[in-house]
Amino acid sequence: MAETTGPHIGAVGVVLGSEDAGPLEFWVGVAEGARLELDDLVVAEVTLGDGQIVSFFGIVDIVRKRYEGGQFDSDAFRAAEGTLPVEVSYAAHIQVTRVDPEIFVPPHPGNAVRIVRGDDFQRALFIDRMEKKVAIGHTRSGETVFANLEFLDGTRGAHVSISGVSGVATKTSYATFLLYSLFHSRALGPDATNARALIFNVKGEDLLWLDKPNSHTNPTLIEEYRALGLEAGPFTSVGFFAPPRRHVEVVMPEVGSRHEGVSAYMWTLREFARDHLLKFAFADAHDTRSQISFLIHRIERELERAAKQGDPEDPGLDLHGTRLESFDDLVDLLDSETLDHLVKNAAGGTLDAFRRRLHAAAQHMGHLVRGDREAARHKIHWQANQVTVVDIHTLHDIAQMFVVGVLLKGMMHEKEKQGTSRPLVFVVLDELNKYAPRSGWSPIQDVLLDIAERGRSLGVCLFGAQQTASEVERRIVANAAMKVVGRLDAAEAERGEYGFLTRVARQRATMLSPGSMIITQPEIPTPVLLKFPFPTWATRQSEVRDDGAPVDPFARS
Amino acid sequence: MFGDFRVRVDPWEVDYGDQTPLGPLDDEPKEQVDHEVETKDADWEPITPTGDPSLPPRVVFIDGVRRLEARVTARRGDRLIHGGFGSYGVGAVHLENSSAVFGELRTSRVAVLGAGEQLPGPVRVRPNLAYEAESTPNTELDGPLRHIQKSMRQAEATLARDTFRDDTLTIVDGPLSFEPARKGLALGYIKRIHQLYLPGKFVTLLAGLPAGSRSPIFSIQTAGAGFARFSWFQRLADPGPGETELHGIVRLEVAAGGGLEKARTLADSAAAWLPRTAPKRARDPRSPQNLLPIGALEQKLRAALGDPRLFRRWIQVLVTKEALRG
Repeated sequence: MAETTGPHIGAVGVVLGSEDAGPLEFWVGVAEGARLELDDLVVAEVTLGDGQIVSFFGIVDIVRKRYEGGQFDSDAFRAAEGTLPVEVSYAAHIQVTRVDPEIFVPPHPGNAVRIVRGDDFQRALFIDRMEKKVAIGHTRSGETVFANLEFLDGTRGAHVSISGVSGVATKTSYATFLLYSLFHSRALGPDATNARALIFNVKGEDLLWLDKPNSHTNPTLIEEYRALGLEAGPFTSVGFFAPPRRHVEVVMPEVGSRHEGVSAYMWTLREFARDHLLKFAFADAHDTRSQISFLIHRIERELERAAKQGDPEDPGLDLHGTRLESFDDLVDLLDSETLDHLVKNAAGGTLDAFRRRLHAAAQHMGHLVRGDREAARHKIHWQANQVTVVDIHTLHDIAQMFVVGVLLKGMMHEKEKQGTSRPLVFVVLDELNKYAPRSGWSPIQDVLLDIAERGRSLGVCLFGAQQTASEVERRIVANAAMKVVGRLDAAEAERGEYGFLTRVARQRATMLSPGSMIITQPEIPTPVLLKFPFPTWATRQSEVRDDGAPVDPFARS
Repeated sequence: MFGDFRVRVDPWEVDYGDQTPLGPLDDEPKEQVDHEVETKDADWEPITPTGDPSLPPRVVFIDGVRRLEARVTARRGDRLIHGGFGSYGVGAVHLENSSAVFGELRTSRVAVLGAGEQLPGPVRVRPNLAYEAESTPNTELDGPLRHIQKSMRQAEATLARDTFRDDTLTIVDGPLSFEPARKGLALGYIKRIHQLYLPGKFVTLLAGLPAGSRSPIFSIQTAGAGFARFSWFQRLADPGPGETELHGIVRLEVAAGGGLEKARTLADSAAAWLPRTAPKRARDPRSPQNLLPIGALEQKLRAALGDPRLFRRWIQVLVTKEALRG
C-alpha cells in the first residue's frame, strides 16, 4: 500500500481498466467491503518508468453499482431468488483536481486508490499553496476547507456570489458564517483591526441578534467550530441601526423584538441636498434616457447649490427662498410653481410624472430625511463597530432602495477619498436581483456595479445573495471570485450562470439540505460540497442565551 | 523451444468461442437401454410431479468451457503432426440459502500434439503464461480439440468430486462420467439430445411432453464404462408454435447405485424445479436448456480465460520468432 504524508485510510480500490483512465478523470473499482461515496477525495499514485511518483488527486462525483456481466433488468429478480449467480461491480468516477507533479500521463489500471485525509486532503484541493487562507466550512467527512483570502481581500480578486432558493435559510446564514470566520480567526492578520462589515437586514429580524450567544450552542457545536479554527460565540463588535418610527416626533427605532442597543438612522435635508441623494428616492429601475433622469439631475444640482449656502451644520435648508425643515416641505415646494422655475423648459408631462413619483417616494421614505436638529444626531456610523447591521426589513421597497443606495454610495465615496485598499469593507446584501436586476437600470445598480468592478482595488468585498443569479446584472455575478450555491430550483440550476457547476453538482444543487453549500473558487478546479456549522450567535429572540447578571462574589445572600 | 519440431501456425482462424457441445466430440460407446424400469411400455405416459420439490439444501452446478486458440502443424523430418494451443476452464455455482454464488474456478492452457507426439516442455508465450505440453494418440485434424474436450470433462469430474458433500446435489454438464463415491447425489444434465435411447413408439409421447413433466425412468448400461445409470427426459419450457417439438427437452441421468426409489424422488424434484432456473429466450439464445447458473458460469469462465484474440497473437508472435531464428 502506498504511503505518503499525513494520516490516511488504506486503499479503497484500484483504477479500472474497463473504462478509459485519463489524467483528468478515471474510474475506480471499489474493493469488497470498502466504501467510497460522493465528495470523497482520493489519490492514485503512479510510479513512472524513471521512478518518479505522480499523484492524481481527485474528487468522487459518480458512484454506481451494477451486476457485472448482467445484461437484463430481470437478472436482478433471478439473482434475488437465487438462481442466477452474479457479481456486483462497485465503481466510482474520479474528477481529477490536481496532478502533482504536473506530468499528465494517465494513471495505470490496477493502481491502488486511497481516500486522502489531513495534509493530503489539503494538497488535493491546492489548499497547501494558499499563503493566506480562511476556513469556509468542512466536508461531510470533517475535513476543513479553506478559501484563498487573496480572492476575497482584493489582492487577486474579490466578491462572493451566493445563490439559492429562499426559505432554506442558507444564504444569509452562510454570509454571516463567512464574516464570522474572517473576523474571528487569524485569517485577516493585521487587517483585522480596522476591517469592517456592513450588513443589510432584508428579511425578518434574524440579523439583529448577532451579538448575543445562541442558546443552542452545545459542546458538539463548539467542537465543530474549534475544528475550523474558530472559537464558538457571538460577534463581538456589532452596531445595530433601524429606521425611525413614522409619525413620531421623538426619534425611536422601528424594531419588533429587540429594543436595547438599536439606534435609529436618518439623513438631514442638507446631506440629502449636498450628496445628490434625490436619485436614490427614484431608484426603481428606469430608463437612463428618459426625461425624468435629466430632471432629477437638474434638481439635484439646484439642491446642491442650496446646501452650500447657510450654516453647514444646519440640518434644514433654504431653497428658492423657502425654509425647508422636513421632506414634506421639499415635496410641497416642488409641487408648487417653484419647480417650473428651477427647471425651465421642462415639458408639462415630464413635470407631472416627476411629481407623481416624488409623492409616491415621499410616502415611503420621507421619514428618513428630516431637517430638524434631532435628525443630525442619527447617522449610521458604520465604521464605529466591526460589524454594522442596517435593518431595512420594515421599509417599503422604495425606501429600502434609498437606504441601500445612499449608504453604499457614501461608503464608496469615503473609500475613494482614502484612496487605499485598506481597511477592508465587507458588504452583505441579499436580494441582489432587486437592487441590480439584469434588465433595466437604476442608480443603485450603478453603485453595485462600481463595487463589483472597482471594489477590488478599493478593498470593498461584496457578499451578494440572490435567489436566482440569472436575474442579476451579469457583470456583478461575473466579478465574484467565489461562487456559492445553496439549494437551487431545478430549472434555475440548468441556466448558464451556473456553468461553473459540473453536471453532477447541478443535480445535487436541487436537493441540498440546509447547512450544505456547493462552492467554487478560482484555484480549485472543481465545485466542492461543504457544510458549515449552525450559528453560535442568536438568530431570533428565543435563541438568545440568558446568561443572567454577572454573579457578584461579595454580594450577601 | 520446440525441440526438433518445426512448429508453424495455421493462419486460418480457428472457430473460437464455439461452445456448442459437439456430440461427436464426446465418445459415446454402445449402450444397453431398459425402458421398463419404472413403468411397463404399455403404460408410458408423461409424469407431472405435484407438491414441492424436495432437494438437498445445497445444489452445485459444475460446467466447463474450452476453446482452441491456434492450430499448428509440427513437422519432424517427413512426419507432419496436427497440433493446437487451447484453453479450458471449469467452475462451480453454489445455490444455497436462496442465493447463487460462484464457487471455485480452475483454468488450464495446453499445447497438444497428435500422433502420440509431445513438445519438449511448457511453451511460455508471456513471462507469466505457459502452455503445458500434452499429447494425444489421435492423428486427425480435430484430435487436439478432442483432447482438450476430454481434459475439460476430466477437470469437471475432478471439481465435482472435490465439491462433493453429503448435503449436496451436484449437477454436471453432460453425461455422468463418474459414480459419486459417497452419499451425495450427482445428476448428469444433457442439454442437447443426440441419441433418443428409446424406441420410435415413444417419440409421440416425448413430442407432447408438457413443461414441468418427465418421462418414466429408463436405465442405461454402458458396455465399457462400468456403472449403470437411471435416466429420464423432461421438458423445461413449452415450444412456441412452429418450433421443433423437442425444444426444451433435456435428458438427465443419475447413478443407478442409489436405487430406483431415490432416483424417482430426484426425477420428480428435477422435473418440477429445473424449469425455474431456465432463462427466457431474450436472455439466452440457448434458452431454455442453458440454465441460468450454467449460462452465467460459462460467461464467467470465458472472462477468466481472457480474450482469445490476444492469446492467438502471442502464440503467433512466439512461433514466428522461433521460425525466423531457424
